[in-house]
Amino acid sequence: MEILSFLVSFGTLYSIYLILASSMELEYGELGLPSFAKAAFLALGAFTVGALSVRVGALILGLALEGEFKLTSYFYATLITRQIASHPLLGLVIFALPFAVAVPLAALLGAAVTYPALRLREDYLAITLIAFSEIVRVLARNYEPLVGGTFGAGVVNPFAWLGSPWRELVLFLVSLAMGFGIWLLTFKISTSPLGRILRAIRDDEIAAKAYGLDVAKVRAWVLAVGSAMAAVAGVLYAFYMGAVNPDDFTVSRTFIVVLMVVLGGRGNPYSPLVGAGIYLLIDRAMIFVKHLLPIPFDVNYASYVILGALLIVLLIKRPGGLVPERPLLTVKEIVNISERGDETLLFHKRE
Amino acid sequence: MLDVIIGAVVYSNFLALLSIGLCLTILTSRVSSFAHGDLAMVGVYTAYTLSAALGLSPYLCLPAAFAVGGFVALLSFALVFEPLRRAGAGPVTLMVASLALDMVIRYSLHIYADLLQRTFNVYGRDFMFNDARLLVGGVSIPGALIGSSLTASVLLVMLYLLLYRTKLGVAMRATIENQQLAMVLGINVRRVFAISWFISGALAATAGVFLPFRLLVNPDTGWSMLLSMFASVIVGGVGSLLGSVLGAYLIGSSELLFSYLLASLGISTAYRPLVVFAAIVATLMLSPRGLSILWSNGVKGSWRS
Amino acid sequence: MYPLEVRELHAGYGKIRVLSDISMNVKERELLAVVGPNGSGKSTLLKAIFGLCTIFSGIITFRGVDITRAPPHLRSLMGLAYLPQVGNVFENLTVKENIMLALYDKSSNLDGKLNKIFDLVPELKTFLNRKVKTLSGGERQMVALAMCLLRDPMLIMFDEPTAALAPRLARQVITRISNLRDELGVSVLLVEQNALAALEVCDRALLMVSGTIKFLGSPSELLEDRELVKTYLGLERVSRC
Repeated sequence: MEILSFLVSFGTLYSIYLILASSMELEYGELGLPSFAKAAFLALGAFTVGALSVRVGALILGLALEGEFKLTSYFYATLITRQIASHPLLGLVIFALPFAVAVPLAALLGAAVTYPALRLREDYLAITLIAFSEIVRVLARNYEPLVGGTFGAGVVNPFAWLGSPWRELVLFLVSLAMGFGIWLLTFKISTSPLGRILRAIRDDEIAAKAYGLDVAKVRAWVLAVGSAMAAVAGVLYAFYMGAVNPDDFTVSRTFIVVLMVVLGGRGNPYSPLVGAGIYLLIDRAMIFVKHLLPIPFDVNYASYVILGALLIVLLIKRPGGLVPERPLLTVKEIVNISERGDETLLFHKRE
Repeated sequence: MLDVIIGAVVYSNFLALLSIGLCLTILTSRVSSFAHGDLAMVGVYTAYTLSAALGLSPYLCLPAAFAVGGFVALLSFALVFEPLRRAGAGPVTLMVASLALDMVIRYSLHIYADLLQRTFNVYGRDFMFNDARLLVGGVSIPGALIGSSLTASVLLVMLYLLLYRTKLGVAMRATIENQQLAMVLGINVRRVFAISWFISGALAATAGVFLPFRLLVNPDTGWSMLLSMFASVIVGGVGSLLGSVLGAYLIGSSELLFSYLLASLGISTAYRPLVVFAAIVATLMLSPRGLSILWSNGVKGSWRS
Repeated sequence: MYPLEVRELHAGYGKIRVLSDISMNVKERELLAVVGPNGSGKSTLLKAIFGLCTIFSGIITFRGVDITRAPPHLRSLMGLAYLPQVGNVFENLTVKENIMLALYDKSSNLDGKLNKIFDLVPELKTFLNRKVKTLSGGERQMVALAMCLLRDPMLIMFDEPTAALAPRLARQVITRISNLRDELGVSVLLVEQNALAALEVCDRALLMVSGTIKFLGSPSELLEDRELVKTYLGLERVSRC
């Protein structure tokens, strides 16, 4: 049973990371945009749950919330969860509502972010996104009514009408469905003509513009979609954790997502599957090791040092990741092909 | 209010040394390093270690901070950015690498802080240096004000002399302006890069030593000030070393004044970064070339331009 | 053995091929003019010889050494000088600093070299301490030329040196370039848009069209071929005195 529970937990987390990696693959792997505010959009989804699950639950049940949110959210979360055990519909509403709120909001915000992107060089854009991400975190930390500041917010369990372990299983299945669905969407985009447009902009923006591509519009669209995906992941993450804490959404999270994409291979639509999996395995392995070795410092720190070094090595040695992008036809090949008289392949080159 | 002004000067001195180093590596190797703020913390912990181990005043540890910071920056050039440059990495890749480098340096400092705490029983985080106070004209002034201003001035003047009065400096400015031509003339461009990274790290680490005199520091402090460093470079004007320095004083003062304003209105000072954001937005919307528009005609690559 | 030999060179930029099957050479103390219409690959030829574009196949030999894959600064050290149209001086530095850089790795006999340069280009003394960006086009060319000569080259490649200059100045520059051949004994590879002026001073002429060689031989022979001259050089009537 323990192994099952571990697998279910691992599977849910994998699905969440799959969504994040897919969104980053679209933005960074395909379009070449350093989407460094990823943690902020993840947070957006999670904060929506943190802010709303207890309040909406209380509203529907007619409960009056007394006391400061930061001090009582966990208490009320438990209370409402118990109510859900006999009111499954309430649970479903609480589950679905954050998606309806966070996803459109994230999409709008993501598209809005492209405006500074127009004016800024990529490095200044990156620092602005990072700063934005940190500001979101700091705001959430300080504005206590949102998600309880440093205390964090309790989250209602929407599947409490099922006994454990079924609740975790249902969350896992839902996450898996969403994760795979979103990855499939990314795959479809990547292998479609739109994908070629994204990569064209990534490889040579000026040439893309010369061919009449509206780069700004494409960027806005991609960032909107990517941010919406991140918000979905955030909602699932909040329900998975059962609580929301602002300090869980630092730039380190963004870094991990970038690492996943580089691990899996930028520009390759399978990379989210591979990258998310490998990262999670490394992560679980390090947690396992932590219990074995007595070290005089927090093992999380060591894991970031190792992961950082890993990313650097990957960028230098295997920039294509473990599953590299399909290479373009080169001039030499085309010359050979045309000499062979194979017209169809020549046409293929022209896209 | 006097304290705010003193704080602004010390903070701006710090920002100036960091921004000019950041600008230098952007100009030479085209890298915007997100690990730059961490170099300041390397200096802090170097000075702190020496100070705690040998009982020296942190002021005396400045040369050590200078050397260690320069060395760490040099290592990051040799192990990360130069190999990437040789592999043909573009600006986005370099940025992502610098983010990874930040993880490595910052969390190594966290590990070091833990070691200091648990193994050597010394505060690893949230510590401050005791400052000496000097009596000037009847007013008690913190030593950090004099120390940081003096150090910043000396280092900036030395940098100016290096760039404008030495053969190496001419080669550096030439490389900044036209790398290919420099290579064609036989200048060892890689050596120029290495030296500019060393300088950038040394300045950052030295500047960092003054922070603990004014506020509690921990390994993330440098990282948290990264936005201000980038803002200084942007406000000063892309590609202008002088601009970065001026931008730093502008941003530094604005930040502290805004912080004072927030506090007197009863709002949390955690919203301080908003004024930095505003400065960046204003610069990009109104005068994209920043302050440098005042003295240049747009040709890249000099102290002034 | 000629100072410069190029055999069956195919070169271009990235994946695009510009030069096809180029074979030519430059003799000692010779001024070889490269002329032809826009886009014919003249500049690319110089860049390929200096190592600044992609070489697909072929061999380039300088002073008997195969330099096809050598990095540019090594070619510079061997005595091959390249004077591009733009980006040939450091604008934000003073003339003196530019000259100092030209001698960066060749610091022996500094004064002797400087004096020789001041003899060849006396105007330099007047604006030694001014920033290059304050100089006129012609003056900048002089600085670029001085920097080039200070490196004791054996072969100098000029890429359209008169492009940004007034006609009178252009003639002066071409004359000065031919003087280099006479007085210093260097070989010169001169790419020029101003075909007539170049053909007047050169020993041999190379006509390039669409990345291939259409003619290589004496300038008088080229000028006598009415068809070639009219089609590719846009010259209706040419009288030689």
